[in-house]
Amino acid sequence: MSRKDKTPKISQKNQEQKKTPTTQVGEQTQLLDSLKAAARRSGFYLQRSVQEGKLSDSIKQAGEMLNGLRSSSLSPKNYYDLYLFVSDELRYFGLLLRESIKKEPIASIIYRDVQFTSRIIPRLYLLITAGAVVIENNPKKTREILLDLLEMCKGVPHPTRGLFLRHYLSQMTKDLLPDISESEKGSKNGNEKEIEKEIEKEPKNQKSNENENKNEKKNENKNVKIKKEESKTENNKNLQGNENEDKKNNVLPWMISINFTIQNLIEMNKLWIRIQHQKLPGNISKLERVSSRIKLTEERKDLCSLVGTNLVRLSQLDSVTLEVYKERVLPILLEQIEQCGDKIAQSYLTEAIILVFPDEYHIHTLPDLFSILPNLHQEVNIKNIIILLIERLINFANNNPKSIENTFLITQIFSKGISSITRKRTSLPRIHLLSILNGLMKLSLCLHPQRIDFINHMLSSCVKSIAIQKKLTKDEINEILSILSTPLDFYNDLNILVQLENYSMLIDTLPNENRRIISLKFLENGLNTLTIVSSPKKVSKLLEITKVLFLDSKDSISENEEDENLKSLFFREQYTVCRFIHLLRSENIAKSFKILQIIADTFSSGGTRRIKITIPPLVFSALQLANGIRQLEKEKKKILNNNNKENKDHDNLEDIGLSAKKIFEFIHKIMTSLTKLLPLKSLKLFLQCALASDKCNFEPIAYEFMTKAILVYNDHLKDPKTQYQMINYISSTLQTLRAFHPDNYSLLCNQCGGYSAKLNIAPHQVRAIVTCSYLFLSIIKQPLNIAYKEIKEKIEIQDEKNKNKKIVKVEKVKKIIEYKRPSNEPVLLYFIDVKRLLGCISRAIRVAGSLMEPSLLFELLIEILNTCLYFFELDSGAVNSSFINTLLDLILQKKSENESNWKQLLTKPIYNFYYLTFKHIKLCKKNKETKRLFKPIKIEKILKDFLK
Amino acid sequence: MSSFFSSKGVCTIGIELTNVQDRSIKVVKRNKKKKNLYVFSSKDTIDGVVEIRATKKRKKLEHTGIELKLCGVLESSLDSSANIDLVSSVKKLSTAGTLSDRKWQFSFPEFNMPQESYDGINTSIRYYVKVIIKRNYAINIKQEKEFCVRNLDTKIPKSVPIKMEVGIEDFLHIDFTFPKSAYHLNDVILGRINYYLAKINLKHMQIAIIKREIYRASEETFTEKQTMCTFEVMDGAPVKGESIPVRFFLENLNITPTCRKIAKRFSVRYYLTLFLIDEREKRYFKQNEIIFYRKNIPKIEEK
Repeated sequence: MSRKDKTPKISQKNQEQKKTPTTQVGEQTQLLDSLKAAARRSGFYLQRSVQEGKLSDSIKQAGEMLNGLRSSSLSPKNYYDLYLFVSDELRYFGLLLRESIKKEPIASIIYRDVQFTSRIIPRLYLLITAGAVVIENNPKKTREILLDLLEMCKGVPHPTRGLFLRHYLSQMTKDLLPDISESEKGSKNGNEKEIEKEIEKEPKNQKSNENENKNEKKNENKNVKIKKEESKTENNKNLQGNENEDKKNNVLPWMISINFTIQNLIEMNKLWIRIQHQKLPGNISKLERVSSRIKLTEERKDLCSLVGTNLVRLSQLDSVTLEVYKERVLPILLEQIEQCGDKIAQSYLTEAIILVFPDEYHIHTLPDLFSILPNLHQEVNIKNIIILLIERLINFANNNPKSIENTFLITQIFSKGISSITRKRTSLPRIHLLSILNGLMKLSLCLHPQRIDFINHMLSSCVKSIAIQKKLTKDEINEILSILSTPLDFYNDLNILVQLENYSMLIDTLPNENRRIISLKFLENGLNTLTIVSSPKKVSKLLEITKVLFLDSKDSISENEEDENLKSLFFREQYTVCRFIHLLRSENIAKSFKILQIIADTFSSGGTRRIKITIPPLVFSALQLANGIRQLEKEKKKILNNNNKENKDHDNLEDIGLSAKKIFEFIHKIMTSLTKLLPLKSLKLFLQCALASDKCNFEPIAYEFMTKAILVYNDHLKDPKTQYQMINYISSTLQTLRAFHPDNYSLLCNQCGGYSAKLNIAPHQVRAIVTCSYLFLSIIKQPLNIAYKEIKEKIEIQDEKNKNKKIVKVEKVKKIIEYKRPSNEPVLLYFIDVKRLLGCISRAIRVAGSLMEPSLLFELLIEILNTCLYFFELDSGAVNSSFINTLLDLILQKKSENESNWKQLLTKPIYNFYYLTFKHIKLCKKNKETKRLFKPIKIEKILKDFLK
Repeated sequence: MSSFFSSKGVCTIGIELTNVQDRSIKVVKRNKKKKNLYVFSSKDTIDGVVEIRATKKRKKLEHTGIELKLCGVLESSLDSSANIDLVSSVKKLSTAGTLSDRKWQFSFPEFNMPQESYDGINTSIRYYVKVIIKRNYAINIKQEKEFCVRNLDTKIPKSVPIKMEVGIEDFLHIDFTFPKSAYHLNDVILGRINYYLAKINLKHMQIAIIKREIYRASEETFTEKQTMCTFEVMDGAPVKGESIPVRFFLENLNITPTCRKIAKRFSVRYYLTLFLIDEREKRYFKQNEIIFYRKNIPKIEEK
């Protein structure tokens, strides 16, 4: 526990000089210089008398020197300057006193002689100097002298001069104050009873002193009072060293130090306050009056450390143990603070107490500290005090973990204290209350992070405090944001945060834009920490907290908002939301599904501009879940099969009534709102869903999704280019689907073909149709064993007989055909319809043939040739060699038609494409495996053409 | 003065006080010179030797008698006509005859001197032993030996607590309390000043001890005021309800015991005065008589 040696200071310094006009500064320095010069002169004589050992002369000279301190014209700063100079010179005088007291150890003589000085200021400075020497010489007199000095200092009620005088008193006695020694400390426990006695005694005295003052006011009991004073002064007079009396009073010497310091502090505080109330000369204008008041306040603040020194001194006394502090020191200090009624003094002293004494003491005296706060001057910044205290405690708790017992009690005290403050101090600004609550929250988090209920309670206090009708200021908003961020930053775990019931209530008090900021921060926190929220309850709570991101509210930004910044902010938010929902999931499928439903419910009311962005990730999330369920189902089935269909641990999923199907239904439901808004995206999503449901082998669902996709295509897509793109998507998706009954499959194929043929732009049409042609010869491009297994599983049909057959047409019954390609491993054929395939190709050639542009025609023909070659190579019988030969002829024919400007027409890539295709055929003809297949292909003409 | 001159011309007269080795000494100024006087108290026996020597042996000096007189005189420059003998005693040393060298021993046993010596501004009380050589035709030849009287006050004067109130309606209400009104000369004045109301912006407060010498001549009364000291007791303006201590050491001040109506015409009185000085240097004051008495006789009294 470190005790700070520095006196706490009020900030805002150096302002005084700016305010004082330069002329005044000049006068001041002039005056200071002349006073210093005079003091230096007397100081010189003083030193001489000291060297000569003349006591009475030196008293006179010292008195002369001290006269400078009687000046009323110096500013406090300059007065301090002079004070330092003079008090330094006074050391010589002290030296002489020390010498003479050695020679003639009758202490009282020097103590008396200095009092002949007729001016009070010099007299008292000398008296203090002498008193210190007497104590040093004879510690038994400590109590007597200290009390006398305290009493005599009352003769200077002038604020500045009195303050410095008492400061001198405190300076001179600081090393003389009896303190508890180390050895005593050990045996202190034994002395406790004695201490208690003393404690009982002392406060009574204190009270009787105060009663005296009261009595004086009433003009009653005067005689009694006079008698008391007589005895008091009599006591002071007997400086001849009445040993008996000394012993009687000297029960515990260190109590004297404490009492003395406190008493001096109280008096200095009174003087300090009085600076503020000094009467100003009557002949100045109002404006000057105001400015001089301000100046007085500033000057006063400069002097605070003089008062604070006493507190530092108290804290440095070893005798001020926790017990003593609690019973003996703090109550008096607090009473004084409360009584003085001055805002500057109250805040300074309270803060100084907090700063100067060890935190451990504060922890044990919190109720006492709090008891006075409500009663302080209305303008005292209670917030600063409490925040300071909180910061100290947090710091202490962090540095000394586990040293605080009963942490909750501390926050309870704070909480009670704050509520009584709010009750009594109606003028407490809302912003201050908020800051206090924020601080308290930090403290609570620091002391007992597990007490979420308490944090929640404080949030509700915040909400209550805001309930007063008044628009929030910018600062207040910032404070609330800070309050909201505090637990967020602390816990870094959304799972805990959602337990704060009142969090969303507090967010609701903020204006839209700030609500959004904090909500976003909330989500980002989750994303940064990758916190998975797995309970549906928590999720709905979470969405409630951040609802501003999901829902429109009265004060939200309108859809037509033009501001680019706001727009980009909106998108940033929504994309964060998108990323965020992936954190909301559970190991438990049912819970996950529940979560998805909650999210969907929330999203559904978010308005179109949000849905556009947020639904797709939700769909993906759902697809993922569906996939998960599918896997699970598969495993379960496997186990079921292996375990002889034991129904024992049968499937949780079915118990819950949940299957992938349900999820697809769910997806279907949320997708419906999207189709109109976002046709393109929803089309793609439908395809995605179709793929997923196909994987799950849910034919009707996949079929439904495909129809939906085609419907969207039909209803919403008007742009030719998009149409072309999308039909390609649809047909390529369709081609990968494996769960369909051939009838259904062919139905969909027809639709694709139909839409392809309807495309407006001829090349699009050609290419789309070519793409469609692949639908009619669909193979499973996987190694045979995997593909076979997969298909088998799906349709559970085995066709052992046809296993080695090369080609089997799939007719009405769904069958799996395995065939061996000449060039490669055998593959499984999923669907084949040669007639329609050829139909597609012919149609493509026909359409292409109608094109006016020869190069494009040529390019398309080569593309068609490539497709045909693919089918040919599959050796599926769909395309035969004569078909290829016809096509080759057609190409050559088209080429020769445009022989004249051929080279201009043919771009390099097209030529390369053509050349490579030709080369491929040539290679196939040579290749061992394909030689036989390619034999009927005639390439001589082309070869000739190339050689030309 | 004249005696000095005459003695120089005609004869020398020496007066010595004997048995004085243990006596205290009072330093006084006479003719701008410092002079040490022996201190006696009332009822002391005053012993001494008188020696007369004729300086001009050829010329005989006739006289009508030689007297030795011990007296305490009240002298005042205000009323030169009358020096009043407070006490006096005459011893005849010689009847008429011719002056010759001669020595006498004298003694005034347990002589009553109730009044102390006093050196005031206009008025003083002096004690001396005086030799007078009476002559018919010429001025008497005189020679005196002064001494000082200091009496301890065996009976301490009656002391009552002093309480002074200063009040200006609605502006100022202060009171001063001093537990005693009688102080010995080395005493300490202790007291308190209590403020009940102080709307006036006070700047300083002083106490002063003021001496009044009051001399009543046949028809007129002369009062001479003298401020013995001022002593600042407060700096700054007090606040309602405060009380300020006063501690004032009387030692080293040139004060004397209070005396009243000596020879029905002379008094020395002391007053404790409090001055309040406000910001505009306006003074308010209040005074109260205090009584000084002697408790001890210092070995050497310088002032």
